[in-house]
Amino acid sequence: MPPKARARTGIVGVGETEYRTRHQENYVELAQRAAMNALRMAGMTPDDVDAVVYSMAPTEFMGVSDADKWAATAVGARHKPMMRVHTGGATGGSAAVIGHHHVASNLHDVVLVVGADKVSETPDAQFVLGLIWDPFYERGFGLNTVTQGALEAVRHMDMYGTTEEQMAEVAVRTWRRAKRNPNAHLSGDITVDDVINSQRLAWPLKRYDCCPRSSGAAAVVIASERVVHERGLDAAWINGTGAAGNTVYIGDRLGPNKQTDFGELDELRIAIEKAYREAGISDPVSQIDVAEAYSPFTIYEIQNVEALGFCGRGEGGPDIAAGRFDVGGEVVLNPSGGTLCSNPIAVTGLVRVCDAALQILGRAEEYQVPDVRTAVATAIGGSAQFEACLVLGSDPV
Amino acid sequence: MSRAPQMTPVPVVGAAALTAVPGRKRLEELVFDAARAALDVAGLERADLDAVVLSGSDELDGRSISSMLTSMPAGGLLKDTVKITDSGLHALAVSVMRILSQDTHVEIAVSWGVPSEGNPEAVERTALDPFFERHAGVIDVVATGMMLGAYLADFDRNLQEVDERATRKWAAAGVESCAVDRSFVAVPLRRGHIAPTVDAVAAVVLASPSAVKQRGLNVLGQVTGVGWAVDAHSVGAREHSSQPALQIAARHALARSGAEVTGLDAIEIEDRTVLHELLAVEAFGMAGPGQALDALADSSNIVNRYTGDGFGGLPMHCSGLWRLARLCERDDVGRVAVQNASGIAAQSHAVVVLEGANAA
Repeated sequence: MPPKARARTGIVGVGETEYRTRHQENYVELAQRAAMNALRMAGMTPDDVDAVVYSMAPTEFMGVSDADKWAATAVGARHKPMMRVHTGGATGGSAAVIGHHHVASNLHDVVLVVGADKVSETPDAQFVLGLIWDPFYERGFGLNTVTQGALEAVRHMDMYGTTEEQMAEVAVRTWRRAKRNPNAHLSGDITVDDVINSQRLAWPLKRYDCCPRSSGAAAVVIASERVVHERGLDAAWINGTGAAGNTVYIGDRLGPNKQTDFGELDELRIAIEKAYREAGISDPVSQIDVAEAYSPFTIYEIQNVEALGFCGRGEGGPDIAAGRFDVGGEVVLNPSGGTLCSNPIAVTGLVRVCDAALQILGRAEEYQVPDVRTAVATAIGGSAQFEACLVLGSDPV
Repeated sequence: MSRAPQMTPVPVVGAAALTAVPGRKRLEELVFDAARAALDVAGLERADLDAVVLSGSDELDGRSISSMLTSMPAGGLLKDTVKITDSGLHALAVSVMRILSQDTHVEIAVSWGVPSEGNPEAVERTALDPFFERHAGVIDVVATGMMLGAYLADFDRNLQEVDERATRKWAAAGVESCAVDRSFVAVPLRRGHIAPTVDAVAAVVLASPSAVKQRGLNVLGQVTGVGWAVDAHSVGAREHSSQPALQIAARHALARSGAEVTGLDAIEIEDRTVLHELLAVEAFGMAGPGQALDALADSSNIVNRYTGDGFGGLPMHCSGLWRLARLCERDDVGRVAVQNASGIAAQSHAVVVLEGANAA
């Protein structure tokens, strides 16, 4: 039997909850709300869904080790195909890529990608995240994701002269953009001095350099081109996907034998390059309108714009501080406020996809950027180890 | 809108199924051993891989993101790497979908279960709904006891028949003492109705038809159908004497392979208990509701015919991928359906149809 051509896929529904410290709903109800919001936008019901891909990162935050399966009935998955994707912080991006493959393979027509997190209910998220490291070598160093991010920042500062003030500019601009997004957990007008003078967590990262612990849920509906046309739906076409993994060991990403550099997100570049190749992106600055980049720390936003090819290596800090990626700039970076303002870890990568899709669909309301035709979303997980990237377009390629 | 069209077959070019002696090697070393062995069978190097799909349980592994440590030994360095927390056959289905999407050409799926390192019952307890069922303690053996009671009542079967089936399974597994341990763990479930678990790792290498042709790879078998489905989380909300999620998974896999159940040489199933074997035989349509005991008495060699009775030691989490890998080591396998369960009380099921070297 000759292989069928890959099916084109598009996002036809987006559902999010607000991202907050507390919700009245339990975990399952949160996931259900996002799922129903996405289906409602698509004009569909759970009966229209062929399969569900569930986005869930470490379950220790909530203390329910089958959280995805607990939510199965609530998101309409009972007696349907469902599987859970887990790549740490990259989970939501990876789940969207796997959802795309469900449809692109011609095995399904409509797939719901959904997940939720209640990470803010855990008494000590960084203790849980301290358990992700190799128990024999790196765990004993006191690593968690904040100290890991601090080490990455130190490396970038050492290589390129990136400054604490440039990182503070990231926070100032991101918080300001988030004011337009009613779902954002944090937003407001802060100054560089506010950031610089905020509590030090792990130098050079201070409180405002770091994301919050957010609870919330997100979902997208991915449909085949056939369904998009038959139902007359608007779609944010998934024109390119990429993913990559790297070694867990930070030490292996430094020194003379390194294949990638710990300060550079080189593994993210691999995922981005594949997604760009598929989407026909050769000049990112001129071809991409919006980037929803996974940046739980200010340094990640600087590394992201470099990995995305919006500027050269080491130029991210100065370029962000110069306003190149503000609203009205060459590429608009995180118009939603991004991960720095809302981080429900299990779905943060999916939230990036949601916000990129909303921009393409013209449904981002107050934070809509005019005339968006191409948007990119990234996701990062583990010890900056797992990466995912999707390029969305208003037209299929 | 759901469709299960016949699927383009995806060739299997490498496979390895390992069991491990507890305490000898770290999980990472076991994963490396299986992945390396599967690549050796395929005649491929790590550099030939486009992508890695992992399947494991953080909670059983005792690590918050265990794939951070297992992805590199599985071959994932600077490769497209993703983890599925459902069974090993779910991971294989992801590899199949990516090859059918023409996104990748050579994939490895790796799955493991090392229960000797953890406490499966404690993990099961944390899997329960914290508001209702956790307090009731409905872990796997308790749920299975409830389901067995319902099965016996619904179909007017008796416990002696189940004991006799268990005796045959212990004998088939080559266990010297065939006497069933009659102590109850959750009435009417006896300890002797439950398969012992073993530490195991499995790896399967898939290649696109074009990659097989271009690289001259040896094809061990063809994946011709995949299906998977989930049931309600609450055991109280499920059917107790049937497994509709497995019926759906099997129906999808068979439809995609263009096969009928009567055309199967065998079903290789996750027989974690006698009850699960009976429910699987009925879910595949090889016996009517409540009639699996009769069907097995007549033709029991169709169940786990090639890869052995689970009572000889059942891999946890990865049993389906492990059995599929073992099928690929043989040259006498025709068309076989392989099944894997995951989740509390087998909430989730995956089925893969494999056409082996001896398929017509």
